[in-house]
Amino acid sequence: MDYHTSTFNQAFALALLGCIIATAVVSIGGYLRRPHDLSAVGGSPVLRSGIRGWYFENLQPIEQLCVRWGIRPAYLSCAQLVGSVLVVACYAGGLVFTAGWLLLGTGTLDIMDGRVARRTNSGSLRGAFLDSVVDRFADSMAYFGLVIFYRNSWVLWAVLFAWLGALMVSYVRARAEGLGAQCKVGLLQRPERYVILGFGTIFGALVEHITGTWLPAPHYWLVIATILVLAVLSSLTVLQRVLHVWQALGESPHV
Amino acid sequence: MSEGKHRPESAGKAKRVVGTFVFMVGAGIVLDSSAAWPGTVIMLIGMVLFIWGVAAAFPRETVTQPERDRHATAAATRPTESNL
Repeated sequence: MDYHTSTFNQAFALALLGCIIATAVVSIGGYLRRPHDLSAVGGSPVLRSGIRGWYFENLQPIEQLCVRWGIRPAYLSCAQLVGSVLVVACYAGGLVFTAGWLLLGTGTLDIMDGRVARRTNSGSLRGAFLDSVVDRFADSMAYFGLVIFYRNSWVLWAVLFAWLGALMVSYVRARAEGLGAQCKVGLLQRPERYVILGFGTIFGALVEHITGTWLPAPHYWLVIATILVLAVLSSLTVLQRVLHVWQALGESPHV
Repeated sequence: MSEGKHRPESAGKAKRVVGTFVFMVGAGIVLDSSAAWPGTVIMLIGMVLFIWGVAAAFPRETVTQPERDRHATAAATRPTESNL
């Protein structure tokens, strides 16, 4: 990894960190101070209903624009596909901060396509199928980018483990639903994975530039910590889902 | 909010959100690579979008009904060439 930390980069990274924290405090704080009905938003231990509500409120005007301009959900899925390829390119090129933002962007497109389909009443089986396929591809692309980024380090194994966990979380749900069981439980579902990896990457890049390279390689230790957390929590989620489906299926006869 | 000023709740929010995102993508290019110019241009585009969004949400002067009535009364009682 050949990058240098100059005084300009340190100051710029510090300014960006301050900018992100200030924006988050003002925006989320302002949202949470107003009364909201969050019963329809849902929530999880990682992404609370307040944060989800704030996120959806910010997403709403963009969805309205998509509806007004006639942007179909399939176009958003295609944009997600292109975005996920850009994420790989950014990781491979060492643009870690940009990769984090693009990752959050592709995650947002993943959520928006379904919401636009519901708004325009244009949901279809073909759309659902395309969405699922693109989601798997985009999910994998993020880890593929990290594999390229950490190809010469032990972190590669952690990335592969986290990648396996992400694929298994999705596979267990798909298989369970194929057998007629509901499986929406789990600590780390896709939105949570996007948020953790996205913000882990963003703050990891900033902290790396601010603190410099005084730590031995591999660099971007906050990104490494995020990958390790994802690897462990994804595996726990798989276990959680397997136990849930095992109990839900009970003693059903073989089909 | 004072009377006579109107501030739409979500006016310009799409521009502000997209502007912030574009700005951050550009900032990442400046931060992590030697391609400072493309990154700066992308940052500027994001900044313009954000400011445009903020301007759209800024309180605007609008004519309220009492003001409209007052203007109408003033126009009706204003001396014209015909009633002088």
